[in-house]
Amino acid sequence: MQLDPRRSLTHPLWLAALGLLALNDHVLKGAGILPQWLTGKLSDFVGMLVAPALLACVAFVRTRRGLGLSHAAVGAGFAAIKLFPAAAHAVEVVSAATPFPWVIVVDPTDLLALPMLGVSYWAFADIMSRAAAPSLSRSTAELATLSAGMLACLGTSPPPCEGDCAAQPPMRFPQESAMLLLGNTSGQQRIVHVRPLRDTVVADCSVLLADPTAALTRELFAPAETWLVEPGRALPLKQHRDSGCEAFLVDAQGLEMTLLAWSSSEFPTTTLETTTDVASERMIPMREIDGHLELDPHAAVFEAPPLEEEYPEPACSVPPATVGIAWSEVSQIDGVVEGLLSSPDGCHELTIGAHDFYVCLPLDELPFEVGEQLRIASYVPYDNQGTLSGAEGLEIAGATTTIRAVRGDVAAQSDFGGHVELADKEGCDAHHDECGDLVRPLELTVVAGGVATGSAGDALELADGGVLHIVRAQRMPIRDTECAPELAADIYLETVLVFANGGE
Amino acid sequence: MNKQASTLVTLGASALLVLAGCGDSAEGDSASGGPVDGPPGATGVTQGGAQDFGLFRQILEDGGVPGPETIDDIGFFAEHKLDYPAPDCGDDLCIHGLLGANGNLIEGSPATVIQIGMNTPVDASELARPPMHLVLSVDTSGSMQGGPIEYLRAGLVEMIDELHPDDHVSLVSYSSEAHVVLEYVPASERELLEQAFLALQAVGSTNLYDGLFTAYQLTEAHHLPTDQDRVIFLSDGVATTGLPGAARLRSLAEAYARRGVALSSIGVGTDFDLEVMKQLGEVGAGNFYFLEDPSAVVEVFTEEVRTFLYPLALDAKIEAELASAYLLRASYGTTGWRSYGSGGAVSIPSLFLASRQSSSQPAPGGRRGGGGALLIEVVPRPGISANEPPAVGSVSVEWTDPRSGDRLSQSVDVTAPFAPGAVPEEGYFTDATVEKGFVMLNLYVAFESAAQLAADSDPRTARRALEAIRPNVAAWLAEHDDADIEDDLRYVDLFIQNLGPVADASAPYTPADPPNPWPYY
Repeated sequence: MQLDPRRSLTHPLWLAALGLLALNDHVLKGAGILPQWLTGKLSDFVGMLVAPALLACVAFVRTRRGLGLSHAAVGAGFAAIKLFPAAAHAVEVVSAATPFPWVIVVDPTDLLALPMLGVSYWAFADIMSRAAAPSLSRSTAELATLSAGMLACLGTSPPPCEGDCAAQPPMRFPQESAMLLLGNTSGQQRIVHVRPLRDTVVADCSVLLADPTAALTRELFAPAETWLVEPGRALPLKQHRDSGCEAFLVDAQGLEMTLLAWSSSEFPTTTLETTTDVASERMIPMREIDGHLELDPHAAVFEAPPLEEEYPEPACSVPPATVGIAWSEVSQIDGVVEGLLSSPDGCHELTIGAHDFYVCLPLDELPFEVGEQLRIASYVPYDNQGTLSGAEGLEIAGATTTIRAVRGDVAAQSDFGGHVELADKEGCDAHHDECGDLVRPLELTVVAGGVATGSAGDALELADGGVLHIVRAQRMPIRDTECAPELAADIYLETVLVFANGGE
Repeated sequence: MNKQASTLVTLGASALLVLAGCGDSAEGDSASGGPVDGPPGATGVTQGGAQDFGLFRQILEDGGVPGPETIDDIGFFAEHKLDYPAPDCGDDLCIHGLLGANGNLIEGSPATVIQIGMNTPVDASELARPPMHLVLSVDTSGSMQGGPIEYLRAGLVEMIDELHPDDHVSLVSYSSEAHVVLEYVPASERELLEQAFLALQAVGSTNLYDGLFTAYQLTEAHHLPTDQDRVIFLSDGVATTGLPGAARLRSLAEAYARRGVALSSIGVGTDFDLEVMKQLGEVGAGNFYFLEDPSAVVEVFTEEVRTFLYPLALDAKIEAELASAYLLRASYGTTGWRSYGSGGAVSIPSLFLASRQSSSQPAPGGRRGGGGALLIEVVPRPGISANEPPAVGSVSVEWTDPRSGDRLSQSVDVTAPFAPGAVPEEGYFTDATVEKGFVMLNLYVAFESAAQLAADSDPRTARRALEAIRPNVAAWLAEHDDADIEDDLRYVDLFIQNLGPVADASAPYTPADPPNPWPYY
């Protein structure tokens, strides 16, 4: 007589086992109501009741022999993953690609649940052989319980339905919220130094991740945290930044300085077990090869930035830190210049009444004289769209000439229209400045009655008669704000516009 | 008895050229680059980059574990006497490029270094000191009240006796702003000077930029081609007003150094802006004094006036060009080094020969110093064949002669008797100077990495690094008599000893528990 395994899916015992499985997985586990070992074992026991009938259903078993084979298959699969780590890992790897990844604990004591397969066969074989009149309501109920059973088995974490529809096993390793793991598979304790990017570093993740070794410098990393990692254990690498990417410099006894960098969207924070027993794309194994440690190839592993940075040709390098515009704090000074002193580095002291005002500009001499009436005031720069910018400025207006100095993300501009366009300087790659920031020289094009283009160090003669001195023009996609200026965007300009009064 | 020693100091962008003038004649009596009073580690007067290692040594002597910020290569090298080959190149400045290759003394893998040094045939002891215009720019902000201002007054008064009658003195006091107290007063006007010094009062905030700018303006206003312009800049705090940041001060000092105006900076106490003052010492063609104990101010002006700085070179550029078989891995002993594909270069605003007339011998056990060097570590280019020529590279220097204004240059080749990467087992050194330089570099790396590891909460590995180098240095000392390295070894032992309790007390992190870094000591 043919069997119909679907009959068992509406049997009270199977339904009770399914209900207990769901209750155990989704309510009892981790709730602290029952001991962890008990919830783990309960899953194994009821799983042995639920799984064979499900397998028989999906395999369209029609004979007692087939039913026996279903039970044997569940038992064999369950035993394999409970006895052999390789089998457990294989199932984990396959399941990791599904919406229901499993984490399996290899634990031979779970085999105690195997006798439940006999109970399953004894309880359901006869039920499956009973004929039943076709009924829409019966078929619907069977389909519903089949679906529920599949979901209960697949949706639970470990172990697989075929052998054990039980869910979470007893926890043997602590779990950490982390993005990646650095696993010690070297067979001995390892001291590992982990240096995160400094908190003060601002990074454009698209630039950083395009070539982490070239984009970063060792100066950008904070002092190391030191960990002692036992063999077989894994160091969790946690989220340090909110910018969407992470970077760490790691080294260990026997492991050369190595850079780790990844996107937060590729490896988001999740709960990971800190053991190397669990094969996962989140694990970066650290292995001993010929007496040295090496990290396995991984999407997040890169060569560390070099000790010595290669410096670009002068035409493509940004000016050193000692080059720049600066001025004393000022709200407004009006008066006659009583003294004017200049230093060889382009700084000037203006004495006006009780004020000694300093200003450093790319001008060997200021276009003002002792006895001249001056007005010195802070200046508020606007961008091309006429919106208030994040830059700061200074204006010194004399009898015939005005100087307007601006530093920030916009250039000093005339009040009479025109705009400034920025582009990466042709033929120049990004490089690192003295702080270790990634900088890329820019070219400015001033469109104001005519077109003039230049970069840092140039003085552009504008169509309206003014001269725009470009002191700095650079993009800074990765910068340490402790050393670099505070920037809303990654553009940093220092420019000085000198123009005749009334004739801008 | 007055003793005169001549020493070439790169009191410019780096102290890499702190070398003995006149060949090796300065053995033992050059105080430049080392402490001039007190035992090693004394917080008294130390000079130039040497102070960095002085602080490191002091912490070890006190039983502590120094942090990585307390040691730098420039300071460490400057405390080692390195005798370069005779300066017979025919110029006032002679460059030397020496090759050293050996297994490193920490874990044995091969290391190849080029040591660059310079010396001069000029004997400063035979030169008459020209008249000097000494501009003193001193911090009289509120924080100098009490002991510091009293020591400052006493030090300035004591200095008067060391001045020559044809010298001139200017005094700038700065707090919220700078004031010219004395302008180009002849040193013979003793009463006037003393009166002005004793009248200094401490009040107000700190405007470093105004103080330095005003001092340099005075040198410019009274510059005579026959005289020497010197600025001494003293501060005990950070800038609280005026142009902010170290960059502008550095730029100012560099610009005047290119004109031959030497600047010595003095940081008093523990609250001054170390980075600013150190940078000024490096770029301003003068010395940097770190006087943790303000009472040392009494002596420092006298020491400075006794030091005669003879300008040898302006706007110098030192360059290393490597042969195609080698790549540059790292450089030590200078700031401002810039690497490029096949080598690197450093620019130095000015080089002076320092001649100190001192009545005091270096203290017993004091370090001889005078050992500036630029060491560049090179590695064979990957894929290079064993048949490559013996060239390792060349080193060169280009500079402006301060007297003629001519641009001069010099270059020497560096060759190896072995193929790239095939370092002989017994090692190879051009001469004893680079052999010592190699040991010195290894000691620096061990000290620096141990300090860093200790700061990274890994005192056990820190101790292991020092324990690894110790027997190798001891074995070298068994064959070479060298007081500096012997003294270094003492500090290796002290460091190991001081790390002991820290390492024993640190609990290793067990990842099975919630993550905690090792506790900091």
